[in-house]
Amino acid sequence: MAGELWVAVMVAAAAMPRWLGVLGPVMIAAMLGASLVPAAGTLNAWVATAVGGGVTLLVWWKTKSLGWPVVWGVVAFGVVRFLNFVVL
Amino acid sequence: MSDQAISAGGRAWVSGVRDATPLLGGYIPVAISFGLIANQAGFSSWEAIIISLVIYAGASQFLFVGMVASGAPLWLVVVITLLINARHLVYAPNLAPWLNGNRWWFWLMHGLTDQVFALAHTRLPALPPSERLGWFTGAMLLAWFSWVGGTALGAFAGQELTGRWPLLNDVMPFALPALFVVLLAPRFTSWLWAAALGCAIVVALLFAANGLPNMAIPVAALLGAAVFFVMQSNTRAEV
Repeated sequence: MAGELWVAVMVAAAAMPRWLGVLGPVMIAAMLGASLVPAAGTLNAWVATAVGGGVTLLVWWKTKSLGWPVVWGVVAFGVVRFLNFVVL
Repeated sequence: MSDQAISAGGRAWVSGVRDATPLLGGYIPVAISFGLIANQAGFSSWEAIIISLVIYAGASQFLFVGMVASGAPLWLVVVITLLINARHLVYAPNLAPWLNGNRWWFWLMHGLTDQVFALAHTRLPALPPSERLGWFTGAMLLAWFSWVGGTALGAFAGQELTGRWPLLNDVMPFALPALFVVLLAPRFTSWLWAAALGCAIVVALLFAANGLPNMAIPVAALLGAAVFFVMQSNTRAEV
């Protein structure tokens, strides 16, 4: 049963309209936008988000890899948040 | 199956697990919160784990627990859950061109989340067809088990954990936006795509910042797509 259903899904998808192909990447962009809102909602959390995002982009630009930009982005975000905890 | 094929399949699995590792930073803290909240809403720890195992849909699970706890009728819970997850109607056809007729794909789609879709949409086209099934299996299983494991951790030991390391709970979720940045960056290939993607990012950010996270993704995506097609038709008209 699953096999036949799967084949039917594949056949339907083969005729995918152009707009559906555009909607995929813009949905990922929408996920990025929604996930950028920090849970804390403070100025420091927004600054940390900006710094973390910037560092992620910079490391991606240098390495063009998937893992390291994320690691360094989280570290940068964490450092800014940690400084806030230490200072305040 | 030859040794070479088995070794290629194994490599693809490991590659999928490696690529999905950044998801753990986003999934585990949220799953811990879910385990905690489900317990507080009157669900047992095992019930919380089964919800994560079977439903496996972040926002829907929180809503499910909240609605069931507040006595909402089952049909309403089902309708709301389906509406929230309607975006999967877009995900599947976007991935389908990269899949083959193997029947395992059908079952593996249980593990298709927003983040796994984003990852697969970028990685699958770059992989040889023989490695795609293994890659997806590794990536989706890691994400799924981390979600179930996080739920178990939250249900059994959540209060103690977040009380001891509050900063961890605050920092780790940034792995998700960081991952999306990396997945999207290579797509800024023209002004057309930059405008469409930029519009979707800003609109989703505004909606989510104003307390409308569930509407953020569909509305922002539709507006982003509209910008793409309007700009494309204007460009053609000028030419």
